[in-house]
Amino acid sequence: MTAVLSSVEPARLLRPRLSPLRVAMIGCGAIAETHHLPALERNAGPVGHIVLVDPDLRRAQTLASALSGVGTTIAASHEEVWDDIDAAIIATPPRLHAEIAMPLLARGVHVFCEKPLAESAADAITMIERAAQSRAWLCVNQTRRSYPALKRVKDLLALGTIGECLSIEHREGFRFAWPSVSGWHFAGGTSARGVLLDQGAHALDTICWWLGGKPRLVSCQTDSFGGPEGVANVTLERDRCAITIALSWLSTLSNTYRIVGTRGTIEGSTTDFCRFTLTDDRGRVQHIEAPPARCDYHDLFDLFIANFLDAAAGRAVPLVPGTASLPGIELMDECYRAASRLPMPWLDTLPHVHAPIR
Amino acid sequence: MLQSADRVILVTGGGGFIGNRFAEVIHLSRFARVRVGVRRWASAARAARFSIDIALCDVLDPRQIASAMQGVDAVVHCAVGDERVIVDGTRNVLDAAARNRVSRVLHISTAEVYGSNVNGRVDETRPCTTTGSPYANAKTQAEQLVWQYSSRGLPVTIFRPSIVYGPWSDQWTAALAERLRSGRWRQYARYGEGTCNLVYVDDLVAAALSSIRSDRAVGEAFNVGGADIVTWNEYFDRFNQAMGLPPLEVRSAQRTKAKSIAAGAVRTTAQLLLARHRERLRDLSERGGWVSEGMKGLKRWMNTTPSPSELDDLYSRRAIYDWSKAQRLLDYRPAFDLDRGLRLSVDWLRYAGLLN
Repeated sequence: MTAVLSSVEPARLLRPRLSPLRVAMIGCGAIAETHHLPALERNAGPVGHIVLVDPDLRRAQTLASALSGVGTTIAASHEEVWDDIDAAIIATPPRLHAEIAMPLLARGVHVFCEKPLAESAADAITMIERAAQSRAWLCVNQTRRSYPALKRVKDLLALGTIGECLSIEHREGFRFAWPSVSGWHFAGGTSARGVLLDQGAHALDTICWWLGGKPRLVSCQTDSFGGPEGVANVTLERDRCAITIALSWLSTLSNTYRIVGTRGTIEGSTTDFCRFTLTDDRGRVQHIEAPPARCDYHDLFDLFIANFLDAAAGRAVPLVPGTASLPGIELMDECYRAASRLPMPWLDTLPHVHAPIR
Repeated sequence: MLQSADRVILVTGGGGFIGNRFAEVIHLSRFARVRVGVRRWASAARAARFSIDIALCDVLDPRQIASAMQGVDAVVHCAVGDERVIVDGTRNVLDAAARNRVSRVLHISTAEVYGSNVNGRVDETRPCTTTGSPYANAKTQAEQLVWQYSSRGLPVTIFRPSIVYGPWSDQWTAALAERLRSGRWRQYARYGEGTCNLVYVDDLVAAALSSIRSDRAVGEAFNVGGADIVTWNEYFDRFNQAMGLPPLEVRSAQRTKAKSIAAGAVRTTAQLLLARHRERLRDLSERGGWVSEGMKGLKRWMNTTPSPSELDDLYSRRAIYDWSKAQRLLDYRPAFDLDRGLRLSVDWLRYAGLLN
């Protein structure tokens, strides 16, 4: 499916736009406040006006008031503004991405979506097709594709520096601490998807990107009892390469990746944007620092937002178009469909602990 | 008396180790309907896996408590934090519970209310005392508030567990496992020969929930302990064995003390640096690289060396918290001996990715 979609995506002619962009920031939660809006403000050159969209108008107004150097308005719904904007950044809960993006794309509005592009591959494909039909850009904020270290790792894998890839181990976990404003991750059963959707959107996308395609799913185990999972363990394989991914919202893991090839090993930290180590088959260790040596989330958001604005203004192509993230989303879909429950013997003891009140 | 599985129990501090466990047990055993009160949404990740009722309930915010308390029949008050959270938060919860005429408040306190300078058998008649520990002092003040509300007619029961361990315990399972796995942890001769009053978390939960069914528990305080009486050195050793690690070496009392004092000095210096240069240090740490790794290494070293207060006030304390009152009035019997509790703890460590 991915290959077919890539071929139907139109080769857009870059036609630089002269008038300032009217941009909607849809969803005024924590990530809009901490990253998207500051990046928009720092890269406001092509922007003439920003409309902040959120059902909580007070929240939208609060964030609008903090912006300077560019005109702002607020709205409660994207429907109120979709005829008046050129571009939109969608930072709502992922289950709403497709619902919001589709009518915007149909109107030719360029869309930059927070990761994951959609909760399901079916939604992602529909969005991609709609973007292709309307010749609007559909971009996705897969920030890791711009980590200097991870880009360099991809290059080394493609060059065969460590030979044939035999195994990849990716371990990523932090106590969930996102300062969510709405609590959408957990509140009122609004989402039944957890760490696999959240951190998995990075991990699975990175693996697909590194390997140049989607590995085969071997197994997926989570600790969900109907709500969003806090732990997910995924095993995959591609040719002779065995891949294990451990994700957690509930404990701090090593936050590392390790790629073993027939001629060497690459190891790095998922939190180090620029550095990793390369060990060759003679055991010689090389500490690699991919330029720029220092970068942080602000730099990465600047990169992605500036690129999106340039793309919307007809001056660039997206860093990560929607089609690029599809293999990772398809894989995530497969994981959720195949997921079985992790063994948790300490929960099996519960019925013996206490009889229900009668 | 709470008698129906349709009743609603609010668990404050539902994002924490013990509060979460109450919520899981209440939900999975269908003891009642549970509402998990969390201070912020980020604390809800563990409870949310069960797709259960979660409410924002910062115990310092009376409006949030009032909202979370709607339709509630009983409260398990587990919220804990700094002195303000423990004292003012407890007052706020008791106040809302009284206004809502809940049928019971279970207040999860601590055996630390008896102070650290105790020896021998300590039962519930032992007076609570203020000590040098801000945590223990705050819990003592919170208990005093509970008794005030009790005297005004609010049905309350207090539980005073000691060392609560088991799956999800940061302090007595995860952190101790990290210490043991570091290869630097030891048995500490006479500094580890104090009594480790362990209770498996499910035993505490079972004791507390059973009290809801008992009118005799109203207005009472209960110690809750486990099935085994072991020393701290023995706990370290048996936990170490349960994880399949090489036997723990024994460090002499003299070396134990010397190392502890050295680590204490480093810890104090680090705290001073942190207090003065917090932003700069955080920045360095977040940037990754070798400086960050060095800082992590230092932190690991400090974390794997016992502090002087741990050795003097806890690991060498020879007190046994007597839970015969819970046995007598609540028919409490610990269901988890140390071997079983440790097996389950180790299973959890593997699930959590904290042990291979």
